[in-house]
Amino acid sequence: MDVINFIISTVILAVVALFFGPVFLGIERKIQARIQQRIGPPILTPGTWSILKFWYKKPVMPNSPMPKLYHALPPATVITILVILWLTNPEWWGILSLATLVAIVGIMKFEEMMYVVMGALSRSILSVSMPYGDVVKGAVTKGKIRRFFEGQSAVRFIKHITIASFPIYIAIFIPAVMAGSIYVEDIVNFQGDFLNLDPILFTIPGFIGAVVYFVGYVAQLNDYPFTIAKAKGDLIEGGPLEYGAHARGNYYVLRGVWMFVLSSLFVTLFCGIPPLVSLTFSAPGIWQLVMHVALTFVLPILVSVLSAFGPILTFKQLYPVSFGFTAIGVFGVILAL
Amino acid sequence: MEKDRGEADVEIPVGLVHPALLEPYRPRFFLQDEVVTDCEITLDAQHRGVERLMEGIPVDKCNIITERICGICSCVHLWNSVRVVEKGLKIEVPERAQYMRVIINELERLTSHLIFFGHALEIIGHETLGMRAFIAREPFMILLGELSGNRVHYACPVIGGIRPRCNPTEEMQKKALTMLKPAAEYLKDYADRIIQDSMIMSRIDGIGVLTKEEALKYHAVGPTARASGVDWDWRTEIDDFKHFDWDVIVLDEGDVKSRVVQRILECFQILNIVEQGFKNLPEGEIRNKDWKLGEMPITACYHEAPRGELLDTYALDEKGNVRHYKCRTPTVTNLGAMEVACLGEHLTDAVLTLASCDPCLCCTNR
Amino acid sequence: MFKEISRKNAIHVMLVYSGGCNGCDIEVVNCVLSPYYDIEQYKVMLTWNPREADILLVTGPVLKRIEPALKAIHEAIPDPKLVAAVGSCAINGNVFYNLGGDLGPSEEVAGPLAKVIPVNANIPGCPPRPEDIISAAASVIPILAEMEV
Repeated sequence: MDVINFIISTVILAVVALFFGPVFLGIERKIQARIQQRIGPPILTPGTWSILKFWYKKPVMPNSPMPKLYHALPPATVITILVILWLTNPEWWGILSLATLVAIVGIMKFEEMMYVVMGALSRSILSVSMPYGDVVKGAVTKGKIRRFFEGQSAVRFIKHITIASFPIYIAIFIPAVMAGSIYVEDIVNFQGDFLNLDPILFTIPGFIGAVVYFVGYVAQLNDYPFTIAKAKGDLIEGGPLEYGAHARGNYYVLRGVWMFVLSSLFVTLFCGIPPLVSLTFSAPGIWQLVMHVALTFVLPILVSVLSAFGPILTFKQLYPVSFGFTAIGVFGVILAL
Repeated sequence: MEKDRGEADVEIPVGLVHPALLEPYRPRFFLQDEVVTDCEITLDAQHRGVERLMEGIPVDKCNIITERICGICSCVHLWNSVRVVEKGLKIEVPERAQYMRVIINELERLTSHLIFFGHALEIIGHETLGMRAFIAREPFMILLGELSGNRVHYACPVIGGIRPRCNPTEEMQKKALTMLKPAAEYLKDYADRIIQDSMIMSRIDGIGVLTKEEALKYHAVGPTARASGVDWDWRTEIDDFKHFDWDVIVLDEGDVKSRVVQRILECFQILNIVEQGFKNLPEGEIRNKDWKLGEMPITACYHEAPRGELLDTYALDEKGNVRHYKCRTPTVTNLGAMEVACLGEHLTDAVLTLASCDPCLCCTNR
Repeated sequence: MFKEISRKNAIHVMLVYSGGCNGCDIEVVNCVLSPYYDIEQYKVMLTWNPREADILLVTGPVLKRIEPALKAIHEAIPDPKLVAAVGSCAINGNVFYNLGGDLGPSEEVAGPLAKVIPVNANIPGCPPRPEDIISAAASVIPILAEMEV
């Protein structure tokens, strides 16, 4: 029975993530539109229908030194991200004793590195290879290399990884300090079971941790104002520029699933409601999964409101913001001891 | 103190098609650790050869073509081209026509500044406030459409006066005055909102500084020069503007923030002029038909386009056809000045600096 | 079935300025960025990346300096795709291709858009109003939904 429950819960959680991820992309665009005083697209358009439309296009060969690796990056990253979601599934805690925060942080690092690899492998026609006479007699010829936008984006991602991922890592460790263990199972059990919950969110260090987690969430998603590495103002889109047709659909899935998974991690660690899949109607049963999914809507809505009001921050403004929130996080850790 | 063009490791060309540039030109940035040490701008992508196709065509047709050199500054191109003939053949323009020419020109200058705000805020990343600029702009576009018949390319001045369609009736004047009040209120709230936002101001403060010596050396013109301390506005030399009471705005620091604030303050002066125009519009005829086309030597006329100084010169032969047409537009020298101003900045700020002089490449390339 | 539904419900548009006076471009930008017209409510979204686009909007007479770039961008768009010529300059060259004095017409214009890439829709006007652009975009969407590939 255990193995069958394991497989069923894994599949159902993957389906839930793959469905709700693109819906979050649409909700973000709709909320931004309403703040901008216009009607905006329907909720399923920027996410779900766009992905299906891209999957029905004729495949194109990207301009890339290793096209097959470039196209394989989004699906591989999606599966790796789903491991974070599966590690918070109670069925996994018994079988593999790997459900620790260290594993989760390691997988987050892997996702960040993917953007660097994407930037190194993409050569769009929108920058260096635009058919225009640059290197002609009489032109300035400084600079040993001519770099594409995607290469510059990869360089900026390395700086971004070094600076802007501190807030979320500190915020994840606050529940660990309060529960006294890095195992997800212990953190969840510390907050009681579903029918009499005592979430960490309602304590003072927990609330500080939630605020710092929110800032780190925006930085991980590369959403305004932390979008310097993919800035639309000068790099257009960065590494993912050459994804076309079905690969672009996969890239949208990656963005949507990342939004869902990080929000779901917040609900598990700070509210104490893991995504338990049990198909009975007696309490807690299916209601725990419904409550979990409903609570994952909160963070993306807050992100949409913030991103409608934020300009792109350049590095000299990003350093103080990120270190400031990291300092608040450290203060929260000290309070939690 | 002149900035030096130094050594560089990496070149990043910003392409012909790009959301920050909008119009096609090709800046190449030479970077050392993401700081721009040299910059080269190539501006020939939009050359349509307008001056060449003017040789030998009748002067009325020439004026209609000059309007389509640019879509944002179309009224001032047409007006300046008509002024060359009026100055050369000594044609008088009636007063009501002078008032209407000024009103439509200033309304177009206002819409041009509002597009600049929308575009600059989009590049900074603040989509919300960029869209509010377009909300602020729409009542003026509707007003211009009712006054002249088209939202862009108004074709208002003709030789000796204005076109009859642009002659407003009594109720049109009253309607225009009632339309201006709420639009001016919205613009004032919008300007306050931008200036009080500390995140936007921290992005644009101290970036892309153009000192007064550099502005004079590279011949920056228009709002770009007036934000660096150069006190000159060609509108003070034009007779039609002498009926109105307005100020020239000059600021000192020369960074991107000064250029934005200078245009915001200029918008309020424009609203002032337009209100005076509609209130004091004199009665009278709108066109002077009492002249004959004949030979005219090369005559030059200067005007103040939304981006700076505009020069038109041509001659007429004995049949009234245009000879030796030449037009020099402001962005040629403004972009040259910006090439110097963006040295020493981060790449994102350098792109923002180039866009802060409000380049209009279709004018530059003709 | 999903193919038609998804193609009708999510369209990406890319805009290329190929040398005109920019009057048409301002009206297209008005459609996209102005909450008065707001083309996103009709499920059409603006992008600057040809790999993401379905419909290519071209304004201005095609100049010889921009022609190679325009052709490269057109090829980079994945099938199925549509091309719309916005404004009189793209449809027939307007004053720049058809007028000329003693020295003849302009030598820099490669021609109306139809001579350079295949065109599916024309939006006339100098410049066309934003309402015309939106209604043209809405009428061209069913063609996209039915295209094979």
